Amino acid sequence: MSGGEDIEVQYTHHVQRRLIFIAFCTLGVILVAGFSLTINGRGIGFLECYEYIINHILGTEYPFRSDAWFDDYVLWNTYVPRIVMGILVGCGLAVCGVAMQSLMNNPLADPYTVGISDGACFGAVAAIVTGFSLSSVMGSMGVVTNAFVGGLIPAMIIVLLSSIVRLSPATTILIGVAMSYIFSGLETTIMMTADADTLKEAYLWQIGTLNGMTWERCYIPMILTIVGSAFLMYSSKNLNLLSLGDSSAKSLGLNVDQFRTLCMLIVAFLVASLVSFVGVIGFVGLVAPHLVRMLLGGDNKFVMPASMMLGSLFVLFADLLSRVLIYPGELRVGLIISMIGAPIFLYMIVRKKKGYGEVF
Amino acid sequence: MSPEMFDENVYYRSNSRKVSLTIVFLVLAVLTAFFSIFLSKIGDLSFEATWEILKAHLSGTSVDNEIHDLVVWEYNVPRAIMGLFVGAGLAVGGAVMQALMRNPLADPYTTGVASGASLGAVMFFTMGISLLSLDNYTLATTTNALILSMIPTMAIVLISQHKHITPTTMILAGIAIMYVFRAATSLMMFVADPESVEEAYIWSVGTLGSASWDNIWFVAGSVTVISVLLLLVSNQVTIMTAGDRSASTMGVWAKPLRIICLLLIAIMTAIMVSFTGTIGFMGLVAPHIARVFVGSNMRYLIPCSAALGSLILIGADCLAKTISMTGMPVGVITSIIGGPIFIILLIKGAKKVWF
Amino acid sequence: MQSVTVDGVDFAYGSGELILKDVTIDIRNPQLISIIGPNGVGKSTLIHCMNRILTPRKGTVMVDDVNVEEYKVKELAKKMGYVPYSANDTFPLTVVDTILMGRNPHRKWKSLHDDMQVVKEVLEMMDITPLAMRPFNELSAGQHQRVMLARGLAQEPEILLLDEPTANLDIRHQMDVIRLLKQLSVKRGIVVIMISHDLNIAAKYSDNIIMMSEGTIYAVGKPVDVITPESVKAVYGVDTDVVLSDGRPHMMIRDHGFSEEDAATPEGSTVSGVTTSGMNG
Repeated sequence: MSGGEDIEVQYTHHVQRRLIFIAFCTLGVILVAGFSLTINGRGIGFLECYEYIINHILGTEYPFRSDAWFDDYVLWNTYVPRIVMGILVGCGLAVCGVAMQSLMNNPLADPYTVGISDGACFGAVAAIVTGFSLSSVMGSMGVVTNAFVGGLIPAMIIVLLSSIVRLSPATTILIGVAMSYIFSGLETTIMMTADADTLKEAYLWQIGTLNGMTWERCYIPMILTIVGSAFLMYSSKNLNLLSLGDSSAKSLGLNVDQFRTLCMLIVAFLVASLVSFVGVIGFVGLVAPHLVRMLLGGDNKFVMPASMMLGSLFVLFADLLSRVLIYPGELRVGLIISMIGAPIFLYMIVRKKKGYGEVF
Repeated sequence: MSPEMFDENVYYRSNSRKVSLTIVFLVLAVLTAFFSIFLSKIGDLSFEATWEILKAHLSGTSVDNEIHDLVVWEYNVPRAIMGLFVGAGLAVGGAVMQALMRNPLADPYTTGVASGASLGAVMFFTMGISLLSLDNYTLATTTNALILSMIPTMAIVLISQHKHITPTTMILAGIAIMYVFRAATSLMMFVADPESVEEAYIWSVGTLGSASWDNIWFVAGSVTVISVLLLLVSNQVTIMTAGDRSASTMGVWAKPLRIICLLLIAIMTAIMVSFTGTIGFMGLVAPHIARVFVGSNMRYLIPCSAALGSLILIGADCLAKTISMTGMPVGVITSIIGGPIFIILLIKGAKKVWF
Repeated sequence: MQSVTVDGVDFAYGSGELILKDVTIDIRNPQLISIIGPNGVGKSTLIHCMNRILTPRKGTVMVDDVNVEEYKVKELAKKMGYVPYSANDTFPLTVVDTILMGRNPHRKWKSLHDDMQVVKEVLEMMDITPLAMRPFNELSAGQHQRVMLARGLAQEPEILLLDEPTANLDIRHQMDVIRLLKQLSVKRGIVVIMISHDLNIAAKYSDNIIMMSEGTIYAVGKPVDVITPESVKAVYGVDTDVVLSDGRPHMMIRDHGFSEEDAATPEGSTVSGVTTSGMNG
């Protein structure tokens, strides 16, 4: 058995390469976060930012209303939540993208495939235009709750349907598409009744932004992202099985229908929570997994963490750009992501080598 | 040798059944279109009055009530014709696109035509840029939309010259380009004043309300010519669904054929979108419904999709007119009503026909 | 007379490793030829080079003494049919429509009636007449295979390439299909080139056999000359006995079955007395 060690060594290298990639992305996230924090209007430097954050976490107290106290206060309450939300959005969307692509056995699937974004937009637009809110909370939290509930509706309908009839992944996708159309139709109906200012507000809500994040807004997405991605990572082996097709996965001991429903519910809650707080950020969930698969191959065990890190890096970088480009104003991060993500993606598609066949 | 030979008449009969079904749908579509002319919410415009106006125009005599004449002849009739052709065009585009891409989710907008058109229109509404420097409001919007809607498809055609490009990667490329165009659109909306945003938004919602005798010729002409061209290559397109490699061994050179068809569909869709805005869902659903009736042989699927597309769009427009004369755009109706119907069809197991 | 000449062909995907290395074969006259060899030695690649699905990096492929690159796509399709290993059924057609696809290179403006006669005939030949109006996706793997064969036959080519035409068939249909292919070569004067993994069936019916090993031609010739214990050992790494029946070689794997002794040896260390690492090399 002379070949055995070779294979073992090769496999170790193979794993190492993936770990190095993940490490690099993580490092990137930390660096970009630092740069992003330096745009704080108080002139706090790059390294100082890290210092303040570490000190804050360690519980350092500053003299009340001293310079350091103000620096810490502004940084921690205005800029850090933004970074945290950026990381959550990147991680959450990317991990859901990986999960949906495996669940649906379709490279074109993304976190919004079952209509979550259109449901959420409908909810939000309803709140903005008609002032109707499910939570009886007016103002921005009313929009958030509406969007959250709206985002869950399409997914819930699909889950409900799948408990009545057996839905193949292809059928599920088609139903998701139909769902998107229904909700965007409803949304348009409401939009048509709005006056110009409200219409613009509602239109812009749909483009994701990290502006104005606070810690209070981070908690729910944070909990859901951590729990959801932990579960999805834990299930990465089962997701690998699904790519073999339903019957093979079943014969390998996976309760396919139940697993798919469970994953879909988790994706729905996770994505709905993100969308309801930041609006629709496209592309990350579709592209980050593809880029990772092109570079690292298709094993979900690595694709998931790597996509999460790449996704975060992507969102933070785009957010940084959105603030730098027209400083002191800012663009919306959703715009920047499409603007830079799409060309990168196109380039990858065109120059892809053979061997990426595992996805296509 | 087994005693029974296959009776070819069974095959011919099944084909004639497909043709007759298509004719039935077509007749229904035309009847519905005719009916839709009589749907007006102008208070004193009765059924008889509409009939009189139509008769007068067809026989060349003059009409007394000018407002009624305007509503019926200048507004309702072109709108019905527009509905017939746009429905057919979207459905044919969808059917052929699905076959070309070998993907049941493809529709005429898959190559980014709609996003390009929106950008063109928004460019004019928010920044006043007319690519052909035209002053006429409608003309400038339409030409802008037309020119920009072809750019994404051109980009995809350029990209697909590359060796490894498969239909799936073409779709992905289409999505990527669409994102860029949408982002550009959003950027303009972001900086624009609310009134322009409203205008641009309303433009992008699919409606047949802008139909007039001046513009239906473009739509009718392009849809007719391009649908016929696509029908001429329908056998080759059917063979292409067997895969590019198999197609080449059966004498169909898949890649150039795909690009030609993509361009034809893009031109047709671009013209329709420029005049009606984005009417979603039609191009995706009508072919699938048609498949339930006539199967996936493009020779029968193209005409049947066209007839069904017309029928559905005109039906939706009748509904839009009944609900409100101007407010409800037909694109919204097709989505809200069509969505559930499509889901029911999917669940009812009609899916066997296309999967 | 038809001919397929492969001359010094190298093939690789992109800039990868060579899959075919300097392959040269000259096939002339109607006959049934089998291409045999272990998995991954380039059998399918060779066939794909013959019908221009793939373009060789080096060397030429001539069909009827004309370079394949110079054929119009329809002309080549008239000359050369191809039955793939598996079929795409995203948008399934009926069996008749699927087989009618094969008539495409011969299609005239109004020839459906004539084409139908061919379709009827091949339906009969492949024993699938009762399936004629069924949708393709509702059929079993074996039925799929026979439909694909029927499509290839409907093309009425002078040269027919087949990628494992009997892979999913039961023994009766295997026999039928192979006998039919042989018959086509004799009665209609077609060159039939098929990839096969069943050495005995290949030996029994083929006029000539091409044995491939790692991207090269290991041996070409009459079954008797090609299928020998030595060549099978060298190419497949399996010990066999070859006996002659009706003048054709019949191969039997020299293995004693699974004994107590095998149960005692470490798992996976031997396959018919050959180490697995040897198999990989």
